[in-house]
Amino acid sequence: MRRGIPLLGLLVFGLAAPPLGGVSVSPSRVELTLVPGEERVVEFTVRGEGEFALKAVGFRMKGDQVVLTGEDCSHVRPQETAVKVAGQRVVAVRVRAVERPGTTACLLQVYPIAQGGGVVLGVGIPLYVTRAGTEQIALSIGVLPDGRVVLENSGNTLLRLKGFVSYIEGGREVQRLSVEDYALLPGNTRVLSSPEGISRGEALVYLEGQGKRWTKRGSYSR
Amino acid sequence: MKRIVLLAFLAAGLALADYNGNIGVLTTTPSDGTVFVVTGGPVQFTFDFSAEVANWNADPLRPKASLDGFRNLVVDRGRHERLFAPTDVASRVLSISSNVPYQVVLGVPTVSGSTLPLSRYLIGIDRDPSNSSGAGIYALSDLTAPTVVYTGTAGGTKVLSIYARVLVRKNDLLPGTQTITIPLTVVPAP
Repeated sequence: MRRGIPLLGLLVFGLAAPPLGGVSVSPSRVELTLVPGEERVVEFTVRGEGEFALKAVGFRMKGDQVVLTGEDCSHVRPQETAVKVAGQRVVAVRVRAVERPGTTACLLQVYPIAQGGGVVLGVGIPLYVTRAGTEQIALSIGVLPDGRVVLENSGNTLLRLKGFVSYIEGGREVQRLSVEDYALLPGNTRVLSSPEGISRGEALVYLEGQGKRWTKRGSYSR
Repeated sequence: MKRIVLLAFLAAGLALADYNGNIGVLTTTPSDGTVFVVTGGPVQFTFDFSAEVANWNADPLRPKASLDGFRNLVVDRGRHERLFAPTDVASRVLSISSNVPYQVVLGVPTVSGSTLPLSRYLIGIDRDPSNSSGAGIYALSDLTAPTVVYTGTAGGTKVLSIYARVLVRKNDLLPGTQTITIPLTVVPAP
């Protein structure tokens, strides 16, 4: 245990200090629920050397993939749009409640300002703002004939799901698929792959998130 | 069977027992200690066609040459087109370290000083540069909608190689120098 702590510290320090030309941003995700008119200041720690630009752009998920929409995120405003960093710097970003009901997803992009105007390799930190009181939380679950499980967020609020899919054959559980920290944006559909080693039986899906829980049963045959 | 289903629901109920019923006002996930490191930018390629244009005019249909990375050209007699990248261009290498899963999203690239259509520019991500087709090779025209080019897992360091090449056809008008700029964003697990 005593050996483990310094080792962990070294590991964290190693990740925290980017090599020359690199940038590191912490935290890697932010979720806010704000009442209309509310504003928050979120602090990010940027590590690296040089000048970095900050900009927020909209994104959505298409299946498992992030898609930049280019949509303006005017409710996310870095206090400075460009910062000089020498080692480490805390950057403040003002975030206010959105007009739109439900969750709005943006990426806070932090990227180096290249000499000569060239662009750019940056980090995009997901930043979710949900307007309190407007949440419509809904999840559709389907079990496909091959055992995969389809999840669709049919509400307007980000779902962050955890739970499991239990595969039952001949009265006993033969596989269990754990679901952790599984993000599902409004309108997005994602598919949970089925594990190896299942043949014919029944899948029991149990998921919870945003204060709700869902279950679904469905047959499969492979 | 019924007993198993009952047990599963019971377990699920127990899992919920510690749920406090409130949606967190501010969540920084997984924790404030999370860091994310990227190096290697900017991703920019410059093609200088000056010498190639001279070769092209002198000998437009040379036999297929051996491909040495991006340094030699290929002439395909059947299609009257050839791939080449000038000698001053090879590849760019990106290094990504993260303690959370992530995706690399390719933005909309820009080309300056070119009259060629975007479909003639090929970008290879983390693939054998001598292979001009298949997964991991994108034409710039396909990138008008941002594309995830790599999905990474937590831990360790990933080195991504990015290559650029141009498909030039007979009678193409080639300016002296062209520059492709490729915006890339590394997005931690959403």
